[in-house]
Amino acid sequence: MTSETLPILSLITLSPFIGAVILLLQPERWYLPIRLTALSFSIISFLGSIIATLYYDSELGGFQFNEYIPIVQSLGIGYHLGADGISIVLILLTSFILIAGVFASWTIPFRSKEFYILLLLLVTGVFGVFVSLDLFLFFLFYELAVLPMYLLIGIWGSSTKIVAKGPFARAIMDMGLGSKEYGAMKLTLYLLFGSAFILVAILGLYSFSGLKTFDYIALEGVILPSSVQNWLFLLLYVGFGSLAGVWPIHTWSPDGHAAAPTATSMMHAGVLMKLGAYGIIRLGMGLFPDAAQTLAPMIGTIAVINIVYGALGAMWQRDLKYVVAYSSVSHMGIVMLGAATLNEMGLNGSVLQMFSHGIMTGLLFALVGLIYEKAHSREILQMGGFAKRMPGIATFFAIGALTSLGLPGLSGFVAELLVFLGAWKSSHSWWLIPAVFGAFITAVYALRVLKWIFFGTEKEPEINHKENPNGLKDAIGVEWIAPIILSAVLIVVGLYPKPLLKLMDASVIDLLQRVLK
Amino acid sequence: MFDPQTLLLSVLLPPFISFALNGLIPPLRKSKYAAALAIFSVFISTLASLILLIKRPGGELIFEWIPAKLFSPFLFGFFLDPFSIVMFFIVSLVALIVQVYSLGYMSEENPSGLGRYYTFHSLFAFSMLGFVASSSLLQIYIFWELVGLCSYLLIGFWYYKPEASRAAVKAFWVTRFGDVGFAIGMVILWGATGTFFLSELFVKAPELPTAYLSLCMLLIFFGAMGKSAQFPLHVWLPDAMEGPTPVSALIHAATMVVAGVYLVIRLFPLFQFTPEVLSFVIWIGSITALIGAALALIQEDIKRILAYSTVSQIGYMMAVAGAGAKSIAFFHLFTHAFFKALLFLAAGSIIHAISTNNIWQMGRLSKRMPQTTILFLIGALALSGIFPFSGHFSKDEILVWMHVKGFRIHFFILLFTAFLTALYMFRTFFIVFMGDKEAKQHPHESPWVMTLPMWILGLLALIAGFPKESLFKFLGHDSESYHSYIAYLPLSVSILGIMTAWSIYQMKLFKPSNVAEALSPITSALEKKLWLDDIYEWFYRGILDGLAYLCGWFDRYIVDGIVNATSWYIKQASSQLREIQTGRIQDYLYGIIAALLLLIWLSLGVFPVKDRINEEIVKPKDHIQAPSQYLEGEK
Repeated sequence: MTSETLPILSLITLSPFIGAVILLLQPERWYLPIRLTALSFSIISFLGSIIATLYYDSELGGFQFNEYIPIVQSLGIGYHLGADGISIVLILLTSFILIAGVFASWTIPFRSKEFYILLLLLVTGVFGVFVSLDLFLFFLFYELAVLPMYLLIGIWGSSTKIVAKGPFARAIMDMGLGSKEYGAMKLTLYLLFGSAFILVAILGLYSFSGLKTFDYIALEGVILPSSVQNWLFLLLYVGFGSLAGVWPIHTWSPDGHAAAPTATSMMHAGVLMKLGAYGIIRLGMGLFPDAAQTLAPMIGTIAVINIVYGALGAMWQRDLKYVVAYSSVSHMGIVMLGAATLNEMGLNGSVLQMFSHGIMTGLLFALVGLIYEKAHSREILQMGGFAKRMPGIATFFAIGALTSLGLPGLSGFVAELLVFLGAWKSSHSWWLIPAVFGAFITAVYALRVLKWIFFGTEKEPEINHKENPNGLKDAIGVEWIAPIILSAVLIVVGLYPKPLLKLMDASVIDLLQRVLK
Repeated sequence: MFDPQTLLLSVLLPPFISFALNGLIPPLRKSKYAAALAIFSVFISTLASLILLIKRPGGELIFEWIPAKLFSPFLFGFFLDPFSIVMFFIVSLVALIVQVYSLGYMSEENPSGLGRYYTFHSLFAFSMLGFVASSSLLQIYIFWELVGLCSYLLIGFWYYKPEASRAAVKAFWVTRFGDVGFAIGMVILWGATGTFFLSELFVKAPELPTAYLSLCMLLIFFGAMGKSAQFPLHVWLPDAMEGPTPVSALIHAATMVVAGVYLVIRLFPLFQFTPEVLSFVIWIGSITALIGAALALIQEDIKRILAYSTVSQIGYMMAVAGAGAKSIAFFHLFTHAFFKALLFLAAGSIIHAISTNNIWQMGRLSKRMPQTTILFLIGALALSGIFPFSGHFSKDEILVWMHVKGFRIHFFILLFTAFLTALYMFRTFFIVFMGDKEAKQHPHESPWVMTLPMWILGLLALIAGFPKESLFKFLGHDSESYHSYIAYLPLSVSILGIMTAWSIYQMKLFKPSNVAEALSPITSALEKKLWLDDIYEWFYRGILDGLAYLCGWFDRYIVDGIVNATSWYIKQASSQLREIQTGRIQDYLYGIIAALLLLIWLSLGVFPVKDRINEEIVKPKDHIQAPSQYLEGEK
């Protein structure tokens, strides 16, 4: 299974890693070279993923660009990479977010070298997860993607003050709610908690299958008895679900996203949450097809709760980052709902929603970062009339908000539509109703936030007024690049989704045939 | 070069190109060429649609939008039929007139604001034209939402005015609420037929069970109610008057708000199989007509009067469309587009001159603004349905149809509404143009760039009723002529309305406040706008915000509280457990000795530990090796 041609997937995956190593060798004071190094290695990955997209034969489907190097033969561990349509779409998403993220952190005030090193390591992990066809490798990359987050949030994050209420107020306050250390710790512990489940599931599969291999393709051929499948699938669901923001194990996500610096939030909400969904679709549905079919009603129902509950949660928030974070919880519900429909429409919609939501939430977090830089506050109610002073940011924010509420012409609509159609065609048609109402609630809070911040009479956060008068300005220079790239993607995919859908369609059907046969 | 496809594209594409260029190139948008580009593009569209109207070809463009293998792929397309051709003409012509008029009306706007204004206008023109010619229900929905977006953007054009941004959001929310119905209806209709393409739907849908089809159509009509401001979802339209007046003329009078009517006309091949839904449509239309007219009667803001009048007139269209006469509904849509746009532009001319919307602050404008007066009078006469103005023909057709087809109650409601229409329109006219108060500012006639478009519309409002027969022939409607006393009734009622307005507001024969007191329960209900705004406010603040509060609070303090409490407990427990590590050597020694004693005691054979260990070492567990029955599918 060796590849005769260019090892394109290794190139994509390892380029950021090499970039990180080269960054290690540069002194901290090299302001521009550090950024250019990070940028150029990201661009290599980006170009690689474009090439992979163009050369992927979507008529044929299946895993392509295979690379295989045995590592530990006695245990059946190998360096096995390969990508199908679903992975390609997600690689493309990751490289867009990566480029945008590098530009969004251009003005990071201190320790920029370490920041970029960690960011590139994280991305290596993400790319690795999307392309590995070996479960051991998969897990390795998965951990690599999760751990740098702790430092990224803990060092470069931002804190806010929240007063807890309710029966657990004392415990919440003692844990330090609102501080960046709290966010970082909570996120990491949650995800490690999840990966423990994943590890158990992978080892379980290893021992039950008896093939003595971690190879995905080989394991695909194994059909375990359904009770075993159910248990292993549930383990995976809890493990990946905690990363995908599945209710009720989603509470790390608002705190983590809110505390994280801009590029980290983009990367995290934009790509890392998709790792969870990808894990459930690829490992869960791919390896445990019977269990996927048995448990789909549960997944779908929880997904519907996610949609409505996340939207209502976002509506309650008055902190801009929390609003975007809760909207991610709601939109990830749409992803999971699409997966649970178990038909072509829904699953295509689910993968497209991963892409669309990744780009959209990346855009929103980039803009929130910009607003925070100018206004030094995230309190929505302290802002107002910003459109006059920052018309460009207002325009891009409007594009993001309109995507999130599913306006036609932007990619979110296509994805949501497909999921809704799939939901109606699935075994549980009633999912459609709460899902559509969730989209309506999204319209309520998204437009409301847009109005509060950008329209109406001009207001300025007090803290900002004292510290930097006349600081409210539009974005300048490099700050424009991330919003421009991301919103262009949203519009292009929204107007003409056919190429992207074509790319994933065959792979989605393959997967479905495994589940439904 | 005049083949149908080219013409179709030359109607649709120019506004899109103008939008794209203005949208993507900020320097262009901020220059004066933005307006020129937008007007030029819509001019080309108008020319092309005029040629289409003369040549009347049929034609279609189809392309694939969403591929699928297990389902049938989603096709999109644009097609030409009588309705889309005439609608092209209405939309592009009114858009052209309004965009020219805006040059004068918006002249005080700064260049970047003006560029934004024309960019939105181009997007609107494109979306509306695309909506008109869509040949797939999904595509209709897409353009439907896009015109809604343009409406939102243009209502909130002066975003720094709090009322404007409020009204914009309100308009979006209310229409979007209707669209929840539309979306669900569309999805479940697809679920049963597997297609969105109209021509396929018309073949497959009639085979569905009537109850199922009725549910779909009812839900879709719910969307139409939101967009076309039908009771009880009409509340956004009066507030939408916060936008610039030309926008109100184009979007909130002539074109976008009638999209719901157009949808009913378009989907009539489906609606005709669902008599219950149609009777619902008639009722909604009639009630809306009446309530709109009654509300218009008590307004003091000239634009709100016109807005409620629009609500009421769309009610007429809905009612007659529900009664089965889609061509008559379309005819009224046609005439209404011109005279209502004219009325709005005339109102805009007044507002431009004296900077107020309140009719009580106007007065005697006939002397200062003679052209505007004449044009407003033409519009008012057309709206009231006076011969030979265009509104007369279409309104007559509606009332006669309702009578002939036996919708007696609706006929009387609509007849009474015709009386109210003349009354509120001429109440406005007498107060604004003839009243004895002098306006505070010194009003002046508007520049020619505003009056010329108004004169064109005035001409159209005058003559648009005459091509009735040929229009009906083109639309495929066999109009029958009914010579009975019914034909004179609407006209007499309208004249009666004008006389009443004249006697109250001009001759002051009796005071309006006395009438209001006599009808106090009704007037107080009308002043509260039938409490609808309060109900929606309650739904928004009480239900939605309440649920959000519950959810947010529950998530933050209960779900997350449990998480935190768990880790807090572990932290507490570990700090207790930490006490074991005292750091004193004696304590550790005690521990070692105790453990040693325990080990000795165990090795004396109290428990058979040794044997069990041996057993396990000797016999490896067999589940590590794969039971063969798991290995299916291996080659």
